Amino acid sequence: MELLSLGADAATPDAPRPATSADVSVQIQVIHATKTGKYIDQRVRQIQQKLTKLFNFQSYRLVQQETSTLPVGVETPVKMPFKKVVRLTHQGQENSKIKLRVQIGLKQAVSLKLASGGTFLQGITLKNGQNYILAITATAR
Amino acid sequence: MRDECERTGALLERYFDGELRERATQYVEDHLADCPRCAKELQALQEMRGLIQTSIRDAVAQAAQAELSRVWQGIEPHLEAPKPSFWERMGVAAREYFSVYKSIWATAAAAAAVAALVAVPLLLRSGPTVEIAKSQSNECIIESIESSGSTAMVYDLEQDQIKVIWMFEDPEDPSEGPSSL
Repeated sequence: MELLSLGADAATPDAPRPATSADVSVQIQVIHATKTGKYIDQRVRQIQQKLTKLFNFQSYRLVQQETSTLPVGVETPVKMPFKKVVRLTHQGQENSKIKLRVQIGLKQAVSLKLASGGTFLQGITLKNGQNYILAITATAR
Repeated sequence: MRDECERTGALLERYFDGELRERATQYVEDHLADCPRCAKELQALQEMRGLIQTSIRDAVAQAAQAELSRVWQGIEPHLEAPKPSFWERMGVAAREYFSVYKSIWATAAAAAAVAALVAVPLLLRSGPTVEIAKSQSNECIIESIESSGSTAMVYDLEQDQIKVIWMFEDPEDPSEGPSSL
């Protein structure tokens, strides 16, 4: 699955935009968590160890992982395995922190400031009872 | 075998929390594979933690539906409350450290207390945009949450400087199906 950039450079709409120091690199990991089974994906072991203090999930499976460079002000959609789209927007930096907006679907959005290299976790329980965790790590370039 | 059980028992909580090093983890897992008694103890620990976590989440969700505004008004002043002093925190830590008897029940009760303190329920239903109190952390500052047709909870894992926001979609909300973008 690939990241699609909705933003476009007005001067060269089709040319890839060179990365600048204002860009941030964002990694998004999508974890399917269940209360049955015993599978712990080693790639998300650290996250599992943190979340086990809060939730009683028994199984953590990494189902998607992507990294993208986000320019300021450009909304970047990422298709989720649970048939929604997460839209990431880098809103600049403030006090050495990266400002991000994370929108899931049409109705849920979070605005936050994250230290470079920090990870923010967003979970969602869908109507069908399935649980997914997004681990979003942003790093200043 | 009895010595091994005692050693494993002493490591079990940290094993459950994923805090053991690789070698110790391997030791516990090897023992659990051969010892039904210790395996049962681990299972009891898992069930107790699960029960507590589920109860907290359910209680908060029910509170949200009943009296959202009143609950939030009750929580908000505490978010701005001053933190305990260094010596107060040291006192609590020392009492915990030197506690001799640590049963599963005691652990479960402590876990419930910690969870109750760190889980800040942010309960938003059918609201457009709700600004929440800024929670300071070196890692992450939540500025706002927009939520409609779902309940949101913010968990603050202070020790790890990690914020977790959990959205619970309302199963009876017909406006946005699973396939909606």
